Amino acid sequence: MSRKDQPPRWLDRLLERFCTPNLWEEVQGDLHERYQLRIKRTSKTKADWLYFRDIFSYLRPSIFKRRHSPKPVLTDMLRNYFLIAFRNLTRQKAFSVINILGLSVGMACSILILLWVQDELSYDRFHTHADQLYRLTINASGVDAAITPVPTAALLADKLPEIKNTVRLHSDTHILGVGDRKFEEEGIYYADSTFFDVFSFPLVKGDVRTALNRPDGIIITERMAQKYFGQEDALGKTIRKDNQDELVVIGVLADIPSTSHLQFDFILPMSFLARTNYDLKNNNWNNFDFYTYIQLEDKTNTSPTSLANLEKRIGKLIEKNIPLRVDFKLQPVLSIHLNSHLLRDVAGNGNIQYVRIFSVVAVFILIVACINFMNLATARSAKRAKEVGLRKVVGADRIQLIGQFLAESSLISFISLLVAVVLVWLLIPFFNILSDKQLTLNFLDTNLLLIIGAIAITTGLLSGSYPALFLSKFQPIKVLKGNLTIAGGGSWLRNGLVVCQFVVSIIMLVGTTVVYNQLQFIKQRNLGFDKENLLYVQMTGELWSKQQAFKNELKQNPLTQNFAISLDLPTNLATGVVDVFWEGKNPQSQPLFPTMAVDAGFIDIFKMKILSGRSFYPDSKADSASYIVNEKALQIMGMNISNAVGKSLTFGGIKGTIIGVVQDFNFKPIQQSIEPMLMHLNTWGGKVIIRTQPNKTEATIQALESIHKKLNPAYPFTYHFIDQDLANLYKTENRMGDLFNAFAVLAIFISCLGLYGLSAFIAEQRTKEIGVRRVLGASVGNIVYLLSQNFTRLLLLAMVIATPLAWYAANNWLEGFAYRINVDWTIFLISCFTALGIAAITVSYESIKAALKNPVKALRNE
Amino acid sequence: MKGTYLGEFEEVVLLAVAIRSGDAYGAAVTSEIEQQMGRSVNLGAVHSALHRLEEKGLVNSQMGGATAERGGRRKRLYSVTIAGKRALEEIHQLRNQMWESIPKTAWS
Repeated sequence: MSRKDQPPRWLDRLLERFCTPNLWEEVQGDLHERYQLRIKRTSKTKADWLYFRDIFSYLRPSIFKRRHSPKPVLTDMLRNYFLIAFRNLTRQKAFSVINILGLSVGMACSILILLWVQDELSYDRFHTHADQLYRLTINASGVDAAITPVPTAALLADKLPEIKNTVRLHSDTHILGVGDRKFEEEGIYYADSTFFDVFSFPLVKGDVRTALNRPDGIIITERMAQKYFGQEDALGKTIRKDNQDELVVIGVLADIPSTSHLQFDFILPMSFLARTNYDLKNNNWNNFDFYTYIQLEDKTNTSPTSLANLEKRIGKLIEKNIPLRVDFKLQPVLSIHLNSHLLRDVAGNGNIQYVRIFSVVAVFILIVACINFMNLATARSAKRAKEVGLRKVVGADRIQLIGQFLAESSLISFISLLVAVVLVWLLIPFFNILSDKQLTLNFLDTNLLLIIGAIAITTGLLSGSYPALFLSKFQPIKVLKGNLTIAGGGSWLRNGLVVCQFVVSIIMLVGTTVVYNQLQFIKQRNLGFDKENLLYVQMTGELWSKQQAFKNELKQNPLTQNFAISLDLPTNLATGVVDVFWEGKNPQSQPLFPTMAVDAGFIDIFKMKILSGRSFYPDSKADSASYIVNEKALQIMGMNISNAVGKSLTFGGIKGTIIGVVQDFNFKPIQQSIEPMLMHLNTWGGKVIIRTQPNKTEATIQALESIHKKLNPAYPFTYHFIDQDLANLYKTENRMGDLFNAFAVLAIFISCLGLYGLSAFIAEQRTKEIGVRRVLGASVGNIVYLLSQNFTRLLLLAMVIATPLAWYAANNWLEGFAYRINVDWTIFLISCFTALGIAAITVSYESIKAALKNPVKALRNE
Repeated sequence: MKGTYLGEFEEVVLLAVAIRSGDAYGAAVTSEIEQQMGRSVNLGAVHSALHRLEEKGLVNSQMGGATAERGGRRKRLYSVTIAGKRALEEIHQLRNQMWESIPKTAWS
């Protein structure tokens, strides 16, 4: 029959689509028969049309319904797989618990780390123009800093068409008060009126466009509105700044997201600062004290080369205004949180290194957990061998068996996932305390759900892959004959996996030890001064004008008489000058000298050591042109301790002499090495530092408070401790150390869980052997030795592999510190023996249990 | 019982199966009905009626031979079961009984 008198094919295909398969043949046949009949009687077009109508008359449920179709074999088999999986789970409760516990703890760790990493990576992404935002940073004399001179922003905005907006920020501390309630507030920024164009901090009350136009306005966060005004509407209320300026609340901001690198509570207009600030009044190019943020035009090419080009043009524009050689850099705002460790940077930045370390840790922990599963599954394979044999005999092919075992591991993996999610939910509050974050498990976050799902599936497939391939390989005839010796084949891989696990565990142990030692080292390191028992008070308000009276009061009380007045503290010094000149200075070089303005008591109070010369004389105006330098400065200036004193030195245009050399001391976090230091006499004020007598700190504080109340009643009394300030510098390191410890413990726990399962299994397998040995006179010790020696060998191998890896990783981390511990062999020895000890305890528990069993019981049952 | 109730169209289809006995498949039953009743009938409707009849146990079916005009596809041959025969007889009898109950005066 020719194609011509066939009905249109697409109609046939349509029918094929919707018609149930077992009806399709007859229906199609009948349709065709009628079509042929019609084509003979009428035209083809008519027949085609009627065919079309007929097909559509078949659009009825009885034709769609797959009523009589037999169930596909697959679903029955799937049900069987899950049934067997469940039976296996319930039959071997101990192993199932070990498996699921190990996997879920591993997953919970990974999910927590994932949440943490996600949070760290999400900083500043909430800004609408996040991709166009840059901060202008400088590099001068090899030092990177986040600050720029005041006029930079206006000049660039004027000259460069790529720049859409700029905003300058200046951070400050003020006393703010409403009525009698006064607080010292640190989170204050002065900002240009473009602030809300550049950044996307949402205003809850007030008008974004006019928010910063009013010079006596102040914008506060909701948190602060609550703190100062309680339930009342803050808008339009006044806040008194430093007891003199009345500021009107013109806007209330939503609380600043924790994922913002800028953390603040108050915004004041730059125009307010401009009334008093010298730099702003005079457009001073010589002082670097402002953050400059730049918003580029939307379509600006932001490839590295064009940015470098832009930086060069910025440099050219500014060059003629500054005497210094300074390179300008555009730092993407998105990278500030993780990649910025500059001088005068905002506080609280993270570290990309920790994000990397913890991502690796998460993967490691998950691998360790998967290895457990694989090991236990292969070890127990003998028990499943008969099942595999039987399945093969009745016609299962290998693919089906692989599918079965993968389904089984996926099932376990999903059960573990559920447990893990519950664990995460329970642990998140503690994790938040440990990591100082506000993480939540948000189930509406599809990204998170996808990733968690992916973790479960990967874990399932990964941990199921080896057992699946291994078990499905069995030859039915060998298995069913009953003399299968599996232990030989899979054992090298099993051993390899155990080694792998312990390599990870040992690396993490070494890591923990190194981190702990380094943190101890930081705490105990001799900084070049005695940081204990030092407290300081910021000179505020009237204390400046009543300085002499203040000093007299302090001197009169034996508790407070040991004091010094300094502008700066040697905790995290952030200033530096280049206008230091000495005889024989190379005019080309521009070394940066951090400086401190200190008084006569300073060196004594801090118990620093004068190596030669003297300290400043008390109340000596003659010392205004005298300088004290440190050893590092001597080195830079090409002098030595014996000849330095008496040499002339010019600083800030004032020619003077070096009167003393002080022993090097740390005035920055010890990630950075000591820089040349120049100390000059402090004639104005700053902070009053008091060395308290041991155990009299409380009394001293009270004495100070009463002096403060007497002289400076308008200001609240606050005090700080030097050692606490120092400890705060290493908050991130400490926090990361704690987290790392926690995860290391968990990794080792999971490894041991696996080891325990494995040793229990082997002890069980060798029950008869142990029985025979016991009957023939072996002691418990012999048996334990027999059972543990294999693991000991594996652990020794793991140590050999782990040591160089751990050494490399530890040194990599320590490179970030200018002053650090040496990674010596004792650390490795301690870590390895800890691992060995933990493993020995784990293994010996089951071994001793097996060895102590009455041999009669082991041998009786044939 | 609702399941055994025979609809009007079902009755016609069942009758056609009986008429075509031995060669009663979808297309044949349809042409039979069309010939007898002189109107066009939907193939789909016939098929679905046949399925319903089979579900009620009034017909049974088996796959039969193929022909060229069917494109080599087999037909499903239906035959009336004993229950089907009884159902037809019952209807027939019921109708007769009712016919006879009509009083002669009704037609005048």
